[in-house]
Amino acid sequence: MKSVRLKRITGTICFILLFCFVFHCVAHFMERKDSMEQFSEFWSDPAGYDVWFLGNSHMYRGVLPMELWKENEIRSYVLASSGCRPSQMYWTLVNALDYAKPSVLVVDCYHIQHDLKIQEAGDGRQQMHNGFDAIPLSANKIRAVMDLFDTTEERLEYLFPFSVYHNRWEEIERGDFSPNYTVQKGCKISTVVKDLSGYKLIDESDMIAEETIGYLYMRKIIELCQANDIAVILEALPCCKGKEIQRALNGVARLSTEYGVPFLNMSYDDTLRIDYQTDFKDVGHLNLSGQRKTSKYIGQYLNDHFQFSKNSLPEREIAKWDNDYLAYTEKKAAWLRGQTRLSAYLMWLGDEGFTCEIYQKEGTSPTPAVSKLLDAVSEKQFIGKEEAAAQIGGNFDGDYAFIVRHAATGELVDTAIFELEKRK
Amino acid sequence: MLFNSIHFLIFFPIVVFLYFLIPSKARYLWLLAASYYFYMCWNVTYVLLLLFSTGVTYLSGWAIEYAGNRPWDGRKIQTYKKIFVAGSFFLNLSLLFLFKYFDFAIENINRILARCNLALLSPSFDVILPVGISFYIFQALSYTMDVYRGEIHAEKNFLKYALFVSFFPQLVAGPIERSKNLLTQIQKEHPFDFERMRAGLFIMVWGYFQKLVLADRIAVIVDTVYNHPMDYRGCHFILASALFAIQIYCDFSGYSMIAIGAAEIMGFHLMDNFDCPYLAKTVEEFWRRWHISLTSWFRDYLYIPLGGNRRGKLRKYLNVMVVFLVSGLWHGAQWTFVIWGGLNGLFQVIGSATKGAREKIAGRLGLHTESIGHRCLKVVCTFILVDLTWVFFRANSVDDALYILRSMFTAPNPWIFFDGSLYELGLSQRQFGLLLFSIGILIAGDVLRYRGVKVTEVIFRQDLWCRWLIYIAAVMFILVFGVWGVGYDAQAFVYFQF
Repeated sequence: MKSVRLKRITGTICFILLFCFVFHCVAHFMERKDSMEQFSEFWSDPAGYDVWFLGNSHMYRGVLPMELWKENEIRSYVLASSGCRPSQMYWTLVNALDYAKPSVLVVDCYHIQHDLKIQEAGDGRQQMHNGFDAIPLSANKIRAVMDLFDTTEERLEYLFPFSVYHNRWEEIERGDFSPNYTVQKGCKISTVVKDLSGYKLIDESDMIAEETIGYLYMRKIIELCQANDIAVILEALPCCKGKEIQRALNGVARLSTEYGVPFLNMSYDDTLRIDYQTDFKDVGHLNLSGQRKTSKYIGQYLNDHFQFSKNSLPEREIAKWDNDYLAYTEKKAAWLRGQTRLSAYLMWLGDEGFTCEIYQKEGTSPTPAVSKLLDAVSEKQFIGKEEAAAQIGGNFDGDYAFIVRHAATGELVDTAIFELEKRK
Repeated sequence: MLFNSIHFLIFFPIVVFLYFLIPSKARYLWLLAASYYFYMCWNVTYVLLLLFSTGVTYLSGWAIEYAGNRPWDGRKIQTYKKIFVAGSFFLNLSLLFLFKYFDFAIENINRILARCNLALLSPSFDVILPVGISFYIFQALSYTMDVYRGEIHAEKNFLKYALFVSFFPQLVAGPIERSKNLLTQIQKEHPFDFERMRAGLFIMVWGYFQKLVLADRIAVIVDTVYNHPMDYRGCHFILASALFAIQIYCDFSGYSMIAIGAAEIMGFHLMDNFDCPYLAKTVEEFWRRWHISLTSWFRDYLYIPLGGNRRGKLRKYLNVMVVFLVSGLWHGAQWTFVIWGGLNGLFQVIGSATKGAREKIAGRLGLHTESIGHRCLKVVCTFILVDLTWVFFRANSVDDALYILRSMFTAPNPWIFFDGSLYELGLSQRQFGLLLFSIGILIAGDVLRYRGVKVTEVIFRQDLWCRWLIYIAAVMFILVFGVWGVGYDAQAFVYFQF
């Protein structure tokens, strides 16, 4: 009798374990891969980064971690997801601190104006999954969910997102079985141009005085970092939103003074040389051109105030980052080759990793934005039509022709012909 | 608390776990507490109605037995017993009337008064229908009747009786249990039984498959068509009505299976509520296989007391019509339900009245009535007849139902089955494919059961690896393909409203 009972208990336990394993595998396949692709590299080894960038879509479109590695020898990761409020940033930080501690935390303050912990139901809640899903299940993840959500259904949804993703069976494709992780260390890149040249900034001293839920959590972030000896930098990336939002962002200066932490209010810093005609993707976000400028600015700031150097790292770590940079360079070349609009193509040519020979048809009058982007191409040389045709491999009709090479190796990356704004 | 909610999936394992930890003699108290909590999750106040019904029927049972044991003459005893039964029925049915039929009655009286140009009645009793009120009142009344008939002794322990009325697996949507079955089981001890638990879980899984994969998926199409009938025609209605027949079956049978499985895990055996109804060859047989607990309730406590079939054919037909009209009204305070019940009664009366003639014709034509083809034809014809009545059951009004029926026969548009417009009814092509596959599984399950094959036993006889494969595949199938989770408005089981 005892042996039968023991056999059944053992069998039941084995069955439950097997079921959990199968469930885990199925849940993994069904999961939407955005979060995994963007963040799983970080969560697999949070200790591998000196600087964490915390924020939302403004942040992931405001910094280029791989360029920071190349230019400033800083190992960084962008822990930012769309619509992420300070409350979600705080809990992301709490969870990340379970595994590692960075030297510096850079926090974007957009959304500090909100008086709700999380976005209202709808698309925003779906966006929250992007930041949440990749965080490993832990006591602090449960605490986060308990704090941010009110209903049992929602809490379970964010702890076990299978309840959302099981419906994806209709859209499962090859990539779901072998997801590709991004090489940009959490940032995203856009080459869309929105001309915002008419935008008028309010005075930097014009700021709100009231506290919001956003401020409350920003305080918590600062206090948590100070308790853990992590240097905090508050920042507000350039954006062209309404007055009230800018006043709320300006109000962060109060926190900065109160806690004695730096605040980089980039909209007001002329050294950035943000161009409202070419550097925005939309009213809230920077495009690659703007992102390159803010990334350089932040890199410079970090270099000026902290000590980061390859030399302090083990060789294996340096080799890993160099390899990652190589993969990123190849990805950049692929992105360049994929561009079909002249402005986007020129934006990529602004990268210092490329050199470029350009043929411009006589009499062509580019738009002001194209003209500026053309000026911003770093390593360029204008050539005649015959020379361009010889390199491209035949005669062509078009307003522009480009022969692009890797700056370091001279290897040909791409050739392209554009008629007006479109690639031929 | 819905069976397909997270709440229940947390509640049920806790109840079961503690149930088997508690000493046997106190288990019924734990189940009673769990049952009342289960009911109060919908509405705390309405638990008073449950208590009222329980109290009235408990006292009536006690009074009937007390009167029966008095040294009075037989007639006096009978008179008192009848008074107590009538009192129990009156109070319980008054409660049901007040909460379910009051507004319907006032509305209809006002219609008549308006036609006669008389002043309208204005009272209204605007309350939410208490969940499962028709089910537990009928279950409680069956106890009164069984005690009156001397089929059981009155239960002395009020708490055990309260558990009989409120036993949570079947409290809000049946099966409507009989005191002879459930009350006697409450008296017994139920030690933990591994085999029973396994069987119960498997029954629950089948119930969840019916509800989550089939009923709630079909509901998308049925709701689209039936809620906007003017936007559709002909074959849309034929398809939606055929699917509704499957939806209502899977929804209600699914609930019953989950209830039966949940009770089985705790050692209770509830009666079967469905027995392959769509494989019936006549409408009469359909009703022997559909919602068995309610049909047998009406048979035992209404049809037989009315005289059943013992008083001639005409009286039998009248009794059938009365039973089915009342059954229709039991389902809802709307004329659509009354017509639905009436049609089902009428089809049975016609079927019974023409049975001899049909057999003669079949004999003269030399038809082999026992051949597979003939039996299949009968099954299909029965399905069509039953499905026509479902139009009234599902339509939002009598006018809608008549429009739908007219359109089915006068506005044919068979091209919708070929030009892809089917996929504009709320389900994509892949969803449709999955639906057809799942209906295939349902039919296979029913045919096997009809032929006497006990699928659970066949599975339990397999080797361990095969059994585990089936268990895991079944649960994963429901988890992946079921309609649940975010964006899913947890649809209450259709029969809750009754």
